[in-house]
Amino acid sequence: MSAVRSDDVADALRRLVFAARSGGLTHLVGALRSALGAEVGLFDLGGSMIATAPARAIWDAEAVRRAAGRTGEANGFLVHPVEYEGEPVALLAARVHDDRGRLLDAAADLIVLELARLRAAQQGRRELAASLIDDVLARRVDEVEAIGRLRAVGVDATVPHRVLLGSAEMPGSALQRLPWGGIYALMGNRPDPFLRIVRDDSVLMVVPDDPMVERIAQNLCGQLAEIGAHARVGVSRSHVGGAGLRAAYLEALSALRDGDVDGVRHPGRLDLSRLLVMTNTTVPLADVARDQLRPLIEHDAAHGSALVETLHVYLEADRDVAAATGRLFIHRNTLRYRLRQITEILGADIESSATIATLWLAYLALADEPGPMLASTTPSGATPSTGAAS
Amino acid sequence: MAAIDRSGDDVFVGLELESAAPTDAAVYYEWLLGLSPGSRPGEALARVGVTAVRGQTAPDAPTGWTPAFLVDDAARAVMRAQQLGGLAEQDADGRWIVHDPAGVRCRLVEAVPPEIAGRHANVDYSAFDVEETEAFYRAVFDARRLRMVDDPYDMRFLCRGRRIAAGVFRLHGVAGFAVRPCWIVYFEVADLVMHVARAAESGSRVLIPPTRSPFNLYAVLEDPWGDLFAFSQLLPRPLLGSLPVTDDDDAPGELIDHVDLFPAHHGSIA
Repeated sequence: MSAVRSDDVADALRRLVFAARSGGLTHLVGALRSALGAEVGLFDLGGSMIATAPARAIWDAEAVRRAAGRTGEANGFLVHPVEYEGEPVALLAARVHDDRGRLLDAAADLIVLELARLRAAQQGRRELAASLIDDVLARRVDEVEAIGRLRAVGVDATVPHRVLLGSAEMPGSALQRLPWGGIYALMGNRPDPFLRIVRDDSVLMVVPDDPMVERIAQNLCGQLAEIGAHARVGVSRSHVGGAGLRAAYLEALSALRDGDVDGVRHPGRLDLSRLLVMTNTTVPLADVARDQLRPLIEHDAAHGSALVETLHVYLEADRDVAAATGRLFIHRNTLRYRLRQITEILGADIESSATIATLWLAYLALADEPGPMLASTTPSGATPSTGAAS
Repeated sequence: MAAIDRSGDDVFVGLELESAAPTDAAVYYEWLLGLSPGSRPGEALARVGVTAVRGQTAPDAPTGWTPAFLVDDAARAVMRAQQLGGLAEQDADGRWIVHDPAGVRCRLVEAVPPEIAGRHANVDYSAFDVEETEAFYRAVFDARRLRMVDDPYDMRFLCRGRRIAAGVFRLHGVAGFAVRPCWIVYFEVADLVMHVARAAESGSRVLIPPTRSPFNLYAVLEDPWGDLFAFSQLLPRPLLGSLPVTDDDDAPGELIDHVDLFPAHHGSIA
């Protein structure tokens, strides 16, 4: 290492700063190589090279990763962690035995600034995408607008896609340590190859439904497993459109949460009722559902009863009287009395398969709506429904 | 054997992959290169010059991409390789595999595989000793050499007729690392950055990030099974053609004076 005199170090530092300001990570790593007179590589935590000087040097990434936790030189090189907001996000390696001028420290600080700049740009894009995903999931945008806006963030929702939802037990800040595959696109001023955002401490990806879905899910799961315990990735089925994205999200969420097995997980048996509600864009299901339940809603409003809730709990409990009474904290005779009331008010046999299917669908449709579940949207003077199973 | 006029033929004519997971790898490369799948995994790869994707012959057998080169007379080429310290073997189909003194292998063929309709790949040899490597393969391929002027990696092109067979460059700064000389297969793509980003998100590791050379943008990666591959995005034709080179006699010129850079059946993957 030649830069040990204070003048040399000061000059090297000036060059590093200039390189960082003028040419980003590639120039900065090049300037560090000149200052140290040795090969330099900047890796993400997965071992992928972000920048290297000289360009055609191939490193042993595993050796660099193994050396990351050690102090001092190992196998002829030093590895310096690059930390962003207290979390390691990259490894800076140099083929030197010591760092007497502390140039690696200085370079790591400059790299953090550049990474922060790149992350800020990426974060802006991802927050925009996250806001859109929120709007789509909450149905704040209609189908046509959803497809148009999804296209603007790189998702062609007119072709089948899947949602991956990944999580692990870790502090939220640990997500900073996830290897950053999108950095190559970002450094080339290109969009992320796949939409990837953080939502409720989970990583959400939207990927085309092609043969690589499982591999991308495995890759994400492997990355999460490196930074937290019980890494899991839920993979949705294939769907189309904004409504399909909603369905895919809920399927991935269900796959993520169900059961105790870690790893890549897929949703269970297809629930046609739920799928219909989640993907429907043509029938105003919520309005129809309110009409179906309106006699009960109005009865509850007039008499302070709880028939809407009673029927909902009874159906959720698969019409098991003991289970339903337990959840409602009422006596079985009270439940039977209320069920007779419901039958009379709706004018329908609530033990008939057709009625059960209709009522179940009505509850699902209302549960999928934003806002209070049973708020009336029917214009004043509209004709109330005559029954649930008419 | 009567001499065959190979002056208009490609020299690098195909690729084979031996992988720990050949079916998965075939599907992976088809996806990575944006090729519509055929009736079986790997079939679509023929469109970029891949003639076979197969499993390891033994648990500890080497894996990776192996280029195939067209020669007039394989037996004579093998003899030249052996005279220069190489080893040769024939596979079950009688095709020659040559191992150079550094242990790196390639195939020699006397005819272009009929399933190859086009080519979207190039190969470089990443060498510890450029001179020795050049001498070995010039003899085996019966090729001449073009040398890039003032290239930091001492890049040379091995040529026959007006075709480039392969590049040879000096692998930099590997002392102390478990890195060996090797062939690097470059798949020509139209949007290198996005191909690298997709590869990184799907389990490949980036060994050399997108980097500009005098004639292309390139990146070197390791697939999920640990085998090396690369992407290349050639610079526009006017820039490429004007690359200064010297020939065997050290006479200066431009690359376009010596070789056809864009034969009609070559191209990049969208």
